[in-house]
Amino acid sequence: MWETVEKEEKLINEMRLCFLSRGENESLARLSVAGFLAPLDPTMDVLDDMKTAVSEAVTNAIIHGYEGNADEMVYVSAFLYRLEEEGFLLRVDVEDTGVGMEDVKKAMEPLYTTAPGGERAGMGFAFMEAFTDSLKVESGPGKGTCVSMWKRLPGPEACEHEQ
Amino acid sequence: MEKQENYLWISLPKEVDHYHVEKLGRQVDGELLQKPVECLVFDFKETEFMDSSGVGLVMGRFRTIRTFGGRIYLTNESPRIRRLFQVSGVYEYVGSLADTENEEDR
Repeated sequence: MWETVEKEEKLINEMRLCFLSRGENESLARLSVAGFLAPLDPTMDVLDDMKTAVSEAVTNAIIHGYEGNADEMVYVSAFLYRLEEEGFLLRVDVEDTGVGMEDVKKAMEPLYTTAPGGERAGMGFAFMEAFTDSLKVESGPGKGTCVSMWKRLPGPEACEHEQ
Repeated sequence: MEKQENYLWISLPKEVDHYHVEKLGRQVDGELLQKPVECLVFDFKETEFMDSSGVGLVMGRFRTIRTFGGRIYLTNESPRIRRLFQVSGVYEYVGSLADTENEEDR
């Protein structure tokens, strides 16, 4: 739904970030997205939701997309739209050019994981779904993966009402 | 990591993500295999951020400790962390020390 809404709304800010597929960059990615949202003065809940969702997507890109190879690039883009009705809409894309997935639907099932050793919970996509308003995954074998996440953010007026 | 006669206490880092806890799971397994304990406690007192890596860490250890018949408890989880474990159904397998204290109060 948000994908169609987005096309008619006004883009007010945009960020493009790319970094090596190294584990330590997981925190760089989620803190950058949090920083991108800072001018909107979002609630802790909204920030935590987005930080968790971005962390899951970037971890997937590194572990699964690039199979742990630390010399590849991960791309994170963020777009902020002002909604005509009220508030804002955030879209975050996390992209890799790695191995991709044959069966996206299967990969998104909770508890499903291809990582060996039982160290992964298989909850990555479930968390992305739980903490954003909409999720889209585009992937194919050898084609990399692009995860798009949408999150509706209340305007400053709405925050004042809550207090 | 603090090991006593019958328990192993793990203080988790500020950020529980894949990068920060990747090795911790294997370290804990090593300790458990060396000398099994009755009780394994994950302490989230210092933790400000967690993603599904925390779930993987706890459930991975559940699979290890199950062989010896030990139990796992979580403690000092913030409401946020609590929610992540609830969403993943982890409390069906492990206890929370907060719950135990509440039961004693009653």
